[in-house]
Amino acid sequence: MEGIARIGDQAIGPKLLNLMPNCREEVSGQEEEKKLELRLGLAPPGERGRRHHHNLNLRGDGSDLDRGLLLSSARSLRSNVQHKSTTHFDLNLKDVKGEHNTTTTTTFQKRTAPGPVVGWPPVRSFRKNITANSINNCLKRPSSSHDAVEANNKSLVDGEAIDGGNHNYQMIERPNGSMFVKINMEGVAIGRKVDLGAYDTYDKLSSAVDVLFRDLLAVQRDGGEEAITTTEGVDGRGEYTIVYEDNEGDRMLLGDVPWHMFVSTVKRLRVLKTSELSSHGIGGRQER
Amino acid sequence: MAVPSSFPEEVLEHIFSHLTSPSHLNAASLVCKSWYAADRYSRRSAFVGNCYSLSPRALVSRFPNLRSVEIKGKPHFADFNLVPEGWGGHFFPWVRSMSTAYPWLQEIRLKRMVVTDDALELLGRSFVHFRVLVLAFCEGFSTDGLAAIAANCRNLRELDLRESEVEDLSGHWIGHFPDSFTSLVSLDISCLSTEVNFPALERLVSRCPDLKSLRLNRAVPLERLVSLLRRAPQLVDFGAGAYSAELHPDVYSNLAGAFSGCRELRSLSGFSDVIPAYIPAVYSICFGLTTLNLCYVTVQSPELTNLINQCPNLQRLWVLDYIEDSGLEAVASTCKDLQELRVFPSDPYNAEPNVFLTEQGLVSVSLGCTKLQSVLYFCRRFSNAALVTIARNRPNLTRFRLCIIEPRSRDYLTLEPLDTGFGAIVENCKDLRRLSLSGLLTDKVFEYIGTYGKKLEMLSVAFAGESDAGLHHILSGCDSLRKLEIRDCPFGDKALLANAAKLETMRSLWMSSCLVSLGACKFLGRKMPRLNVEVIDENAHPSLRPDDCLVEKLYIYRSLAGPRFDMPGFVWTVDEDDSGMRSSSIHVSS
Repeated sequence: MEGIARIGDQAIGPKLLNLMPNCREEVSGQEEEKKLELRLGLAPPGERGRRHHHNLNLRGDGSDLDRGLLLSSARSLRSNVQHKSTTHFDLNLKDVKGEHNTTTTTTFQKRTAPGPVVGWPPVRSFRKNITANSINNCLKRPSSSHDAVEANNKSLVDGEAIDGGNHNYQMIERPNGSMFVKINMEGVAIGRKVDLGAYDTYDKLSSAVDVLFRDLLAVQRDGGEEAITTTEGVDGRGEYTIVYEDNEGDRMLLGDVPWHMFVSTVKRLRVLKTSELSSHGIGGRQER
Repeated sequence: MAVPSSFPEEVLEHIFSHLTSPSHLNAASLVCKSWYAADRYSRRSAFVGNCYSLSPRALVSRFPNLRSVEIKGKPHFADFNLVPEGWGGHFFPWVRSMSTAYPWLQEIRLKRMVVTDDALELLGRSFVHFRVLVLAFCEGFSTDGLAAIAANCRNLRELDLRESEVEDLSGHWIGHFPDSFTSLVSLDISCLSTEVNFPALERLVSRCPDLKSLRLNRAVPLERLVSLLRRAPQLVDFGAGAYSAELHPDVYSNLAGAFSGCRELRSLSGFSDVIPAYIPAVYSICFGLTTLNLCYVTVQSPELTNLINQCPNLQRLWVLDYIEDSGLEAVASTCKDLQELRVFPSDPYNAEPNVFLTEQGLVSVSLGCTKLQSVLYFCRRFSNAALVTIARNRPNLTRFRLCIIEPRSRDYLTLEPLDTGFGAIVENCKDLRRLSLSGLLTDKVFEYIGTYGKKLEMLSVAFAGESDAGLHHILSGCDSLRKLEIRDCPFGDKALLANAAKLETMRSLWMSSCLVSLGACKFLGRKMPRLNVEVIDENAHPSLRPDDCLVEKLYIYRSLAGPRFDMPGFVWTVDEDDSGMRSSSIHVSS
């Protein structure tokens, strides 16, 4: 009984334990399972004879006893953990660690090529866009060149020297990161956000939008609505057309300006029925 | 001899009306039934930290006489695009209940909520004495909704839209304030993207003698600032819009003159697109400044330093990392009253540093600014030694958020994890209430946090830890913990389930890209009826997934209202009937 967590009558012990590695990993061998099974209980190995209030007894009778057990098992876990480094918890998880999926942090290597991570660094989207635009503005101002060179000529302790001067003038047209803008589709209640930083041409954006809303439309279709054929068309040939709102509030057709100019002025995207484009007043400020 | 058994209710209520702290009032309400009743009727303001923790009806029936309500919606990580669109946080059910229950309502403050034009229209119509509307980090409304507020709220004092996303249809909404409207004290429209009708704005500013705070948006050009400042020399807080124009001596001298007329100015912000040559126009009022928000100011360190050297009385400084270590040294020697410092990254996605801002800048400030309590600092390298120094210099820190931009960065000097450094922070700063971690961190740092972080209320963790022990240290050790948000850490079922009871003592827990299984979520949801365990899964119905599959995003919060019924299709909660997961029973379309 001890060492096995239960939901109702169903033993879930081994299943829970399988989670420590990625769910796709197999736990090979009965022996491995047994090792892990023992470990669910918070008592150190060899002390199975202890009262099972030290174990994670998750029996499902819904009483306060459960909560008490959860609390007391937590206390015993804490006291275990406060032992020196060979705590029970650590030890077992280290055994299991070898099978960890590489996405978990067992590697102590600094990533050499940082890819964009969603939501990291934790700065708000509007701020990203603003500093992007401002960096472009900043780079064009010659008055600050002297000081920029000064600053960049200092090198960092770990040997990373910044290029003198040149670095600050590298035309970073876009930051190497995400730029989320909202996108709404006519007839779909819930909007989405799309990361313009992930694309560098209108075609790629167009097909990504297509995929995005195809899924949503499919879900709606399952609800009994009639099938909608969609081809996103930048050129307006398809049934739907993508338009965007720029920083002056105007609605514009996608594709008129160069990509980088689009990216620096776009505020949000919309997918409209091509047949109703004219009634949306594309290209000029809407009077309301 | 008859001894009155209690004070008359009115006396109790009068006494309670002098207790402003909600925790004191909560404590008083637990003493006995008559005190509970007295508190019920005398409570004038309520703070709902999580809009789903109770229903609007429950609030309204417990506290029938509220004048001021503050409600928060989405989890904090929504600011960083981790919460999908349409998640929730709808204001309309609240305003609908309050519109009938609180005819005398005066103040509404919302954060991270979805506010529709309909809700704003209902608000405008329902509350005759309405004075204060703060919509911070909100979305879902347009300038039409603002027009309704302007037209209907005859006694409005404060309209603050900070950081909200507004559908900017037209700038004419500002003209909907009637000519007889003169009560405005504070206006923050800095988030609006297009121009407001400038003549209407000018007239508004002219006829509101009590206007103390005016924060404009980028679309207000520099030349127009002069006319506004001249009409409102009593301003205490001013946010300029775009601060760039053709260099012209007349414009400059007019601007300098206008600023010098504002003797009461204590706070400046905005100044986006600034041209360095115009900055000295504000020098005349810098001496009195206590708050300076330069986080849109993209000038280099020397100009920033010159400006800051004019501001010896600064208490709060927000700035971009263009300030560099040298500028922060100037802050350390000039701004002796500094309490809060925030340094934002100018180019967060470039792996290479573009400015010379290192840990040294913060160390300098920690040494020179003895009143420093609150820090938010983005940089690209740090060391345990620097953290220990900062901790020893400033044991009075209450908020410490350090973001080393590259995840899992080591101490750049020793190549070790940063456990000891952050450990020193929690150990020395005994009143630390808020902490955000970054860099390479093992379970050790969490042991320190659990041991020393007894006053810690909010903790943000990303790309850290090695095992469930880390999460267990936090949940079992941090006695005051209210909000915990975790992303990309190897924390899973064991620690979560072992500390299930702790979750009921907290406002909320967010975990994304961790190792929590669907089975554990279901189990927790069923065992803990006063917790809402919500799984966010945008790709498939959880019932199609095996129990041992990991959930991508998880939000757990205590609630008296039970599972919510406005969940969008991608939010799932435990179904009480079978052991599966369900979405909302009622579909809510926008």
